Amino acid sequence: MIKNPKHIKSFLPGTIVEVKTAVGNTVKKGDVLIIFDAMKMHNRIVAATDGKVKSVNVQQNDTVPKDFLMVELE
Amino acid sequence: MSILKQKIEELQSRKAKAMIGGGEKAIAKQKEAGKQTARERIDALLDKDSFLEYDLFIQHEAREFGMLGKDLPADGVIIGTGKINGKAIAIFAQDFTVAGGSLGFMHAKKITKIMDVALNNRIPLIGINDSGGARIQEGVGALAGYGEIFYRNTISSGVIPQLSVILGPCAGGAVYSPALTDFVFVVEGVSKMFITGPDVIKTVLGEEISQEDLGGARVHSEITGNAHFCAKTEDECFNQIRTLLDYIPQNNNKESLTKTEVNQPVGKTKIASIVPDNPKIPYDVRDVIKAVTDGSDFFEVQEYFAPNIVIGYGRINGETIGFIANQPDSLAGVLDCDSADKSARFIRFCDSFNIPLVTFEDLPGYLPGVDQEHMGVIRHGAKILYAYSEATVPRITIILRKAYGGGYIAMNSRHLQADFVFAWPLAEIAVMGAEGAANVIFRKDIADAENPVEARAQKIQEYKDKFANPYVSAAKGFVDAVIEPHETRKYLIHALEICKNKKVERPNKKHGNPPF
Repeated sequence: MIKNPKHIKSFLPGTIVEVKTAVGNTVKKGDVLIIFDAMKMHNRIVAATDGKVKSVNVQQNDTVPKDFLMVELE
Repeated sequence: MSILKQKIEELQSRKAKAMIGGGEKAIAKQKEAGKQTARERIDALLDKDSFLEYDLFIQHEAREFGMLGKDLPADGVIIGTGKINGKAIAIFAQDFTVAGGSLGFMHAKKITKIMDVALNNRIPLIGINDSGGARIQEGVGALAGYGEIFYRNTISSGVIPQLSVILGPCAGGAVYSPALTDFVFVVEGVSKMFITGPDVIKTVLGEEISQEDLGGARVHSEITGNAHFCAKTEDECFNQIRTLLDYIPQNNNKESLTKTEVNQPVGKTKIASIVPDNPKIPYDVRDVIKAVTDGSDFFEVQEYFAPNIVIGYGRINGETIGFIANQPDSLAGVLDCDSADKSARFIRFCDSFNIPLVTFEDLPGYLPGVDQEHMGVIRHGAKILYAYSEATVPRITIILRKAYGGGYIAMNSRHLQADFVFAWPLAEIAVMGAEGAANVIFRKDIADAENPVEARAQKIQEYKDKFANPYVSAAKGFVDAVIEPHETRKYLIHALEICKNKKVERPNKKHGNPPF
């Protein structure tokens, strides 16, 4: 299925290393929103599209399951 | 007036009539859709004045459903030969202005004729697809035509490069010719590919979807992997074709590989600064490729599909190389179903056409998960093992950082008979990460310890010190040399030169049976 570019989800279970955005921020496609530790890597989770941050559902050191909605854009 | 002159005038008037295609109204419609006509496309793609056309006067033989006596100029497809970058090619271009570019029996005969010219003369074949599908009035004759095309695509595979350019609809059975070819080019807003279109999907399943969302250029570039190159305009697409043909040879004879003058890399040549020391920090592996290629040029294939592996062409010392590289910047560079498919087909193309392979390795392993397992990561993942093992072209691996588990074996390891394996000092070559390994090996020690957390940390460090380096592998001869990052291009040039006349004999067989 076509992914919703406004829903930024975890691709695996992992740990939030850093949240680099906040509700209300305007982001551009490619901006790093979250640093996400999974598969031995601090993965840069980037915005798939331009938009405004509607919700941030994680904070530093949270562990999240796969497909967890970490950030939602408006 | 002499007889010859009269005859020439007759020829000219017949040609002029046929060249108009579907007429002014149909051409205006084609333009409204943002599309060039078939002849304009050939002119834009090929070297100036290099094209000669054949079978201009072909006529269909259909009689049913009002087809008798109906004039379809050139039967809706243009075939011919010409040059791109000064090198010979064969081409067909479907003309949507004539009966919607529909494929009838004679239309297909023209296509198979030019396919035979391409194969017999060992020159690349380019097919421009812009067709509503089978010409229904011709019934099974149209289906026969598709079958004849698919057969030739298959027989030509691995002998001549075959390029499919989707510049309009390409639906139903028609999609399988592009699928059988080596490279598929799509243009945003123009290309539409699907087996069953939105109407059928709505009737049968009740699902509503637009043509663009079902099988547009982005869909095939990002999700399905059916397309290899995506452009914003037809002209950008033609540039991509010219660039690709500049890298790849005319056919599978070794003599057809071309050599260009040697340029030094110009980009971020400080290769050591590209890859972070901390193995947990990602980076763009394409910068590493560009740090070793001539002129820092790299022409990426399937850029948007399975971006966790990077494939494409560059030159080293003037010669075309196929690069395969794990991309730490996407899904940590894991291998999964899609990235295995993507790289396996690329490796097999390069091997068919004598293009040496250079692999840059930095991956945590295969992607775990129920969906991957149930999608068949076992058989998909096996493709990359098969493709590397089978390849007899020079194969060189540079281990940049992580090389773990099954991923280590898969990425052209010594054990799959890589010609040379070099590792950077940052390399960590082990069966699994230290955290996981410590939990398994020292389970009891950690559980029995007074302070299990501290004990665990200590055991992880112990494992790291022992295995997270290239020297265990170097001690076994699995790595041929541990090299400094700035020596990478030098080692590649040397190794490729050593492998120039590589010859390996395989057991006699009809063909292998890869896990398709």
